[in-house]
Amino acid sequence: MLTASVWRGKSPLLYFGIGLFTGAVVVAVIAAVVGGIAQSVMPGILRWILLGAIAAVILAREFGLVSFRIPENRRLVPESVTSRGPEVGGFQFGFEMGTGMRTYSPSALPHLLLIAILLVVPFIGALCLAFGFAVGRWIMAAGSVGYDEDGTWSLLWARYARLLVAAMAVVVVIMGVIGLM
Amino acid sequence: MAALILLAAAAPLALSQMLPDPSRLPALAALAVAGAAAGYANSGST
Repeated sequence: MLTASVWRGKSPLLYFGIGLFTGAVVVAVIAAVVGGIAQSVMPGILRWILLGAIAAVILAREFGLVSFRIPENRRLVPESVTSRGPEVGGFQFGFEMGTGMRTYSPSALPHLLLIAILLVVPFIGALCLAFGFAVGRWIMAAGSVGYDEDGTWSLLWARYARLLVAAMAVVVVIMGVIGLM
Repeated sequence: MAALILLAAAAPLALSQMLPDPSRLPALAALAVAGAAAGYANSGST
Protein backbone atom coordinates (compact mmCIF):
# COMPACT_ATOMS: atom_id res chain seq x y z
CA MET A 1 0.00 0.00 0.00
CA LEU A 2 2.90 2.34 0.66
CA THR A 3 3.86 2.01 -2.99
CA ALA A 4 0.35 2.80 -4.27
CA SER A 5 0.55 4.34 -7.72
CA VAL A 6 -1.62 7.27 -6.68
CA TRP A 7 1.16 8.29 -4.28
CA ARG A 8 3.94 8.24 -6.84
CA GLY A 9 6.23 11.22 -6.47
CA LYS A 10 5.38 11.74 -2.81
CA SER A 11 6.65 9.48 -0.11
CA PRO A 12 4.10 8.69 2.59
CA LEU A 13 6.76 7.07 4.78
CA LEU A 14 7.14 10.05 7.14
CA TYR A 15 3.39 10.26 7.72
CA PHE A 16 3.20 6.48 7.91
CA GLY A 17 5.82 6.59 10.68
CA ILE A 18 4.01 9.30 12.61
CA GLY A 19 0.79 7.31 12.28
CA LEU A 20 2.53 4.15 13.43
CA PHE A 21 3.90 5.89 16.51
CA THR A 22 0.56 7.52 17.31
CA GLY A 23 -1.37 4.27 16.97
CA ALA A 24 1.13 2.31 19.05
CA VAL A 25 1.15 4.97 21.78
CA VAL A 26 -2.65 5.06 21.94
CA VAL A 27 -2.78 1.30 22.51
CA ALA A 28 0.12 1.42 24.98
CA VAL A 29 -1.44 4.22 27.03
CA ILE A 30 -4.82 2.48 27.21
CA ALA A 31 -3.12 -0.80 28.17
CA ALA A 32 -0.93 0.98 30.73
CA VAL A 33 -3.96 2.60 32.36
CA VAL A 34 -5.78 -0.73 32.55
CA GLY A 35 -2.52 -2.37 33.60
CA GLY A 36 -2.09 0.16 36.36
CA ILE A 37 -5.30 -1.12 37.90
CA ALA A 38 -4.34 -4.77 37.38
CA GLN A 39 -0.87 -4.17 38.80
CA SER A 40 -2.30 -2.52 41.89
CA VAL A 41 -4.70 -5.35 42.73
CA MET A 42 -2.71 -8.45 41.73
CA PRO A 43 0.29 -9.63 43.78
CA GLY A 44 3.60 -9.09 42.01
CA ILE A 45 4.66 -12.74 42.16
CA LEU A 46 1.38 -13.83 40.57
CA ARG A 47 1.76 -11.30 37.75
CA TRP A 48 5.32 -12.45 37.00
CA ILE A 49 4.36 -16.13 37.05
CA LEU A 50 1.45 -15.40 34.72
CA LEU A 51 3.64 -13.40 32.34
CA GLY A 52 6.34 -16.10 32.38
CA ALA A 53 3.84 -18.81 31.53
CA ILE A 54 2.28 -16.80 28.71
CA ALA A 55 5.72 -15.84 27.37
CA ALA A 56 6.76 -19.50 27.32
CA VAL A 57 3.67 -20.47 25.32
CA ILE A 58 4.15 -17.59 22.87
CA LEU A 59 7.84 -18.41 22.46
CA ALA A 60 6.92 -22.01 21.68
CA ARG A 61 4.47 -20.73 19.07
CA GLU A 62 7.02 -18.41 17.49
CA PHE A 63 9.48 -21.31 17.26
CA GLY A 64 6.82 -23.42 15.57
CA LEU A 65 6.65 -25.94 18.41
CA VAL A 66 2.95 -25.40 18.98
CA SER A 67 0.24 -23.97 16.79
CA PHE A 68 -2.80 -21.98 17.83
CA ARG A 69 -4.66 -18.94 16.58
CA ILE A 70 -4.13 -15.63 18.29
CA PRO A 71 -6.69 -12.82 18.57
CA GLU A 72 -6.46 -10.76 15.40
CA ASN A 73 -8.78 -8.85 13.13
CA ARG A 74 -8.04 -10.91 10.05
CA ARG A 75 -8.33 -8.27 7.33
CA LEU A 76 -6.16 -5.73 5.60
CA VAL A 77 -6.37 -1.98 6.08
CA PRO A 78 -8.96 -0.75 3.53
CA GLU A 79 -7.52 0.30 0.16
CA SER A 80 -9.62 3.46 0.46
CA VAL A 81 -6.94 5.09 2.61
CA THR A 82 -4.82 5.51 -0.52
CA SER A 83 -7.40 7.97 -1.85
CA ARG A 84 -6.67 10.31 1.05
CA GLY A 85 -3.25 11.27 -0.23
CA PRO A 86 0.24 10.56 1.06
CA GLU A 87 -0.16 12.69 4.18
CA VAL A 88 -3.57 11.73 5.59
CA GLY A 89 -3.60 8.32 3.91
CA GLY A 90 -0.08 7.54 5.05
CA PHE A 91 -0.89 8.63 8.57
CA GLN A 92 -4.10 6.60 8.70
CA PHE A 93 -2.40 3.53 7.29
CA GLY A 94 0.35 3.88 9.88
CA PHE A 95 -2.15 4.44 12.66
CA GLU A 96 -4.03 1.27 11.71
CA MET A 97 -0.77 -0.67 11.64
CA GLY A 98 0.34 0.93 14.91
CA THR A 99 -2.78 -0.09 16.78
CA GLY A 100 -2.86 -3.47 15.03
CA MET A 101 -6.62 -3.50 15.48
CA ARG A 102 -7.59 -3.71 11.81
CA THR A 103 -4.80 -5.88 10.42
CA TYR A 104 -3.55 -9.42 10.39
CA SER A 105 -1.01 -10.28 13.07
CA PRO A 106 1.56 -12.72 11.71
CA SER A 107 3.31 -12.88 15.08
CA ALA A 108 2.11 -13.20 18.67
CA LEU A 109 4.94 -11.01 19.95
CA PRO A 110 2.81 -7.82 19.97
CA HIS A 111 0.31 -9.73 22.11
CA LEU A 112 3.14 -10.59 24.50
CA LEU A 113 4.06 -6.90 24.74
CA LEU A 114 0.46 -6.01 25.45
CA ILE A 115 0.19 -8.64 28.19
CA ALA A 116 3.50 -7.47 29.66
CA ILE A 117 2.19 -3.88 29.78
CA LEU A 118 -0.95 -5.08 31.51
CA LEU A 119 0.95 -7.13 34.08
CA VAL A 120 4.38 -5.69 34.88
CA VAL A 121 5.62 -2.85 32.67
CA PRO A 122 5.56 0.66 34.19
CA PHE A 123 3.95 3.53 32.27
CA ILE A 124 7.18 4.97 30.86
CA GLY A 125 8.27 1.48 29.83
CA ALA A 126 5.01 1.04 27.93
CA LEU A 127 5.77 4.21 25.97
CA CYS A 128 9.25 2.86 25.15
CA LEU A 129 7.76 -0.42 23.94
CA ALA A 130 5.32 1.53 21.77
CA PHE A 131 8.10 3.67 20.33
CA GLY A 132 10.19 0.60 19.56
CA PHE A 133 7.22 -1.22 18.05
CA ALA A 134 6.57 1.68 15.69
CA VAL A 135 10.24 1.85 14.71
CA GLY A 136 10.37 -1.90 14.04
CA ARG A 137 7.31 -1.84 11.82
CA TRP A 138 8.53 1.27 10.05
CA ILE A 139 11.92 -0.28 9.27
CA MET A 140 10.30 -3.31 7.69
CA ALA A 141 7.83 -1.19 5.70
CA ALA A 142 10.54 1.21 4.55
CA GLY A 143 12.66 -1.71 3.43
CA SER A 144 9.81 -3.24 1.46
CA VAL A 145 9.08 -0.01 -0.44
CA GLY A 146 12.20 -0.54 -2.55
CA TYR A 147 10.74 -3.70 -4.06
CA ASP A 148 8.41 -3.86 -7.05
CA GLU A 149 4.76 -4.69 -6.52
CA ASP A 150 5.25 -8.13 -8.07
CA GLY A 151 5.31 -9.91 -4.74
CA THR A 152 9.09 -10.26 -4.52
CA TRP A 153 9.20 -8.83 -1.02
CA SER A 154 6.41 -11.12 0.18
CA LEU A 155 8.23 -14.14 -1.25
CA LEU A 156 11.43 -13.11 0.49
CA TRP A 157 9.58 -12.54 3.74
CA ALA A 158 7.85 -15.91 3.47
CA ARG A 159 11.19 -17.63 2.89
CA TYR A 160 12.85 -16.21 6.00
CA ALA A 161 9.82 -15.47 8.19
CA ARG A 162 10.19 -18.48 10.48
CA LEU A 163 13.85 -17.73 11.20
CA LEU A 164 13.32 -13.99 11.59
CA VAL A 165 10.31 -14.32 13.85
CA ALA A 166 12.10 -16.86 16.07
CA ALA A 167 15.14 -14.58 16.30
CA MET A 168 12.94 -11.59 17.11
CA ALA A 169 11.18 -13.63 19.81
CA VAL A 170 14.53 -14.28 21.47
CA VAL A 171 15.39 -10.57 21.25
CA VAL A 172 12.02 -9.60 22.77
CA VAL A 173 12.50 -11.94 25.73
CA ILE A 174 16.14 -11.02 26.41
CA MET A 175 15.59 -7.29 26.05
CA GLY A 176 12.34 -7.51 28.00
CA VAL A 177 14.08 -9.21 30.91
CA ILE A 178 16.93 -6.67 30.83
CA GLY A 179 14.43 -3.82 30.63
CA LEU A 180 12.36 -5.03 33.53
CA MET A 181 15.13 -6.13 35.89
CA MET B 1 -4.64 34.13 31.04
CA ALA B 2 -4.02 33.09 34.63
CA ALA B 3 -4.74 29.50 33.70
CA LEU B 4 -2.21 29.69 30.87
CA ILE B 5 0.46 31.10 33.17
CA LEU B 6 -0.30 28.40 35.73
CA LEU B 7 -0.09 25.77 33.01
CA ALA B 8 3.23 27.17 31.75
CA ALA B 9 4.61 27.10 35.27
CA ALA B 10 3.36 23.62 35.99
CA ALA B 11 4.46 22.09 32.69
CA PRO B 12 8.19 21.81 33.47
CA LEU B 13 7.39 20.31 36.86
CA ALA B 14 5.00 17.79 35.33
CA LEU B 15 7.55 17.00 32.63
CA SER B 16 10.29 16.45 35.17
CA GLN B 17 8.03 14.02 36.99
CA MET B 18 7.43 12.09 33.77
CA LEU B 19 11.08 11.91 32.78
CA PRO B 20 12.74 8.73 33.93
CA ASP B 21 15.63 8.49 36.33
CA PRO B 22 18.80 8.60 34.14
CA SER B 23 19.94 5.34 35.68
CA ARG B 24 16.82 3.70 34.17
CA LEU B 25 17.64 4.80 30.62
CA PRO B 26 19.50 1.59 29.61
CA ALA B 27 16.55 -0.49 30.82
CA LEU B 28 14.11 1.68 28.93
CA ALA B 29 16.29 1.45 25.83
CA ALA B 30 16.19 -2.34 26.18
CA LEU B 31 12.40 -2.19 26.28
CA ALA B 32 12.42 -0.06 23.13
CA VAL B 33 14.58 -2.70 21.41
CA ALA B 34 12.14 -5.41 22.55
CA GLY B 35 9.32 -3.35 21.06
CA ALA B 36 11.23 -2.92 17.80
CA ALA B 37 11.83 -6.66 17.54
CA ALA B 38 8.11 -7.33 18.03
CA GLY B 39 7.22 -4.68 15.46
CA TYR B 40 9.70 -6.09 12.96
CA ALA B 41 8.44 -9.64 13.48
CA ASN B 42 4.85 -8.51 12.98
CA SER B 43 5.44 -6.85 9.62
CA GLY B 44 4.47 -9.72 7.34
CA SER B 45 1.10 -8.12 6.77
CA THR B 46 2.51 -4.78 5.69
